[in-house]
Amino acid sequence: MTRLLRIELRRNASVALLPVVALLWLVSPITRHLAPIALWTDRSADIQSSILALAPFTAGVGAWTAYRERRRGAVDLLATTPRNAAARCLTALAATVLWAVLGYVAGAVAMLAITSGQATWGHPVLLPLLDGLLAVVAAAALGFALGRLLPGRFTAPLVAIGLLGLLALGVQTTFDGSFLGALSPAYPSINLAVSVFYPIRTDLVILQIALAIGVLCAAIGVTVGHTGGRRVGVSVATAGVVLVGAAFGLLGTGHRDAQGAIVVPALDSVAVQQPLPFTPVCGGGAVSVCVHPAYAAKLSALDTAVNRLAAPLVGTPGLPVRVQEGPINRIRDVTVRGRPPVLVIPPVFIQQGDSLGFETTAVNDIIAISLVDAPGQPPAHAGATQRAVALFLVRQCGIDADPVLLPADPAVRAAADRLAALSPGARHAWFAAHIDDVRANTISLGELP
Amino acid sequence: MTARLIGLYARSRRGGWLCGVIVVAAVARWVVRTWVSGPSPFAMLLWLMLVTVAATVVAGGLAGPFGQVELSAGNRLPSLRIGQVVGTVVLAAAGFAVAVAIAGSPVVESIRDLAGFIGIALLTGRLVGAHRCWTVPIGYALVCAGEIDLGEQPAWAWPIQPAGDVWALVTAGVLLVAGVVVAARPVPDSYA
Repeated sequence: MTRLLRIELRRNASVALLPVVALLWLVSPITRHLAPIALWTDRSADIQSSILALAPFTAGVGAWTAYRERRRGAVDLLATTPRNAAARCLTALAATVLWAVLGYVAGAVAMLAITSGQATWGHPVLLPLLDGLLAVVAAAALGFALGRLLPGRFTAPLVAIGLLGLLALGVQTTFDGSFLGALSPAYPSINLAVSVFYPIRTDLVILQIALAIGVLCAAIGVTVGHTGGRRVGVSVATAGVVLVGAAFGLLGTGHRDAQGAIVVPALDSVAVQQPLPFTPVCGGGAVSVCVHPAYAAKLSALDTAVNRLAAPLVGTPGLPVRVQEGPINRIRDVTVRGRPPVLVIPPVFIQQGDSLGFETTAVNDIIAISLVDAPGQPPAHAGATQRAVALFLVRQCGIDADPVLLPADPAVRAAADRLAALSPGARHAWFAAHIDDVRANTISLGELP
Repeated sequence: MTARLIGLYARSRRGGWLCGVIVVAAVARWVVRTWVSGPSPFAMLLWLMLVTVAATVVAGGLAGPFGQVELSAGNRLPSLRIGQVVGTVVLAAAGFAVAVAIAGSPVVESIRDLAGFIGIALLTGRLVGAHRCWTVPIGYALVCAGEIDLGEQPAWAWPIQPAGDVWALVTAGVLLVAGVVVAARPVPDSYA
């Protein structure tokens, strides 16, 4: 048996495809997000999401391997060998799984090694890593089972493409508000935006693991059943289907908590989580900018950006006394709260890339709108006058505004130009007298100086 | 070229099955219309997977069961291969155009992506064999979706460029033409 496995390992199509997957991994956002903020939660989820590159190819190889005997016209020949057909099949599957596991583990070890030298917060979270590993194994088994059931030259590509499409569909439907798609192993099982503020909820990752095990059992059951072990195959496949059904059923009973994490009452007794204690790190600008210590490396960039944006408004009434990170992950939740006013922004804004992050334009636009918006109002609801002042604030920093986040028709642009044409003293005097009217949206575009 | 020859060639390539898969992919585009139109990387990935299905079927369908035998049997194989590629490309373009138009999405952008991916699949099939023609399109789709995730829009990632981008349109067209040209030349590519 060991010799057979060695032969299968040597002849497996994964040998040719793993370098392709490694190349994809190297150019993926995962490896391009390696500086400067390194959170263990973030990196653990990144490792899990590496299945997007690995799982489709693994499933394709599984399907390709499964109908190899038929493709080579060796079905009758192999039927005469003394080895049990199920054992022969499962050895071929084991070789595919071993290569896939090797690929996943190699990527995970590399990522963990890099993170261990960079981490600014937290500790490795093992459940997402296990989830990704099981998803890759399940993908191989699923591809293999489909290759046995539906042998054909298009089985491998259609299985690979179909699986990647399903993974993407699951994530996309969850982004659009559906719940069941969250079981896609490509969907982050940890709520990243709040992971430094609250303990991690493991409900979703447990269900994703249950789904992966269920699919694995169902696929192995089908394979065994198809190769002669009908009774065992049916039992294992039934157990798998039950597990898959249970995962979907339990998810259906869940809801999102105040931080946006999925909570399944049967798996989690903590209805309301207590925030984790931390001491924020603050900058020394006119508007105080405070971040979670995990994001201290980005404080300087954020402090500079916020204070450049707010410079024309310093000394005017109602300006936020502080801009600070909070456990929110949606742009519509970015707003000024409380008294004295504090602008709360999500940490994801400054989590990635260089300087302020790849979302530099978004950060600037949203902060600029929030500085002149009514407290509690989502940035998307800003009026024309507020957008004109926000556009001026962004432009005076030498930055172009995003037309989606900060839509500006010709009238808004003209009003922003008029503000820019004023002398700093006259502009400050006007802001000091009228900024409350701008925030209340009681002043028209034409009344801007 | 007789109708009988064309019919036999189509049967050897399972022409009906190929057309069926292309139509199913186009219908699937309409079914998932809500989830492929957003700006997220996963919406793009989902769309590109539907395109990859059609591209794989167009390129992978060129492989025949006879290999070397077919090459030595006559001189009409290049014409038949071109006819097959053109026929399946036109069917895919028409199917996706209808699905996209009904869903209210930009047709030109969709046809551009389809053409480019078919070109990539045909070129990949030529380089590594028709049965592996799906590997590069999947990899390229993943890389393009990754660029959206990073908030970048490099010129080489033409599928994520806006609908009116001439460079993206030209790139996709060149890929398709190059793919069709190399696909016309028969190789002993057998799926047996």
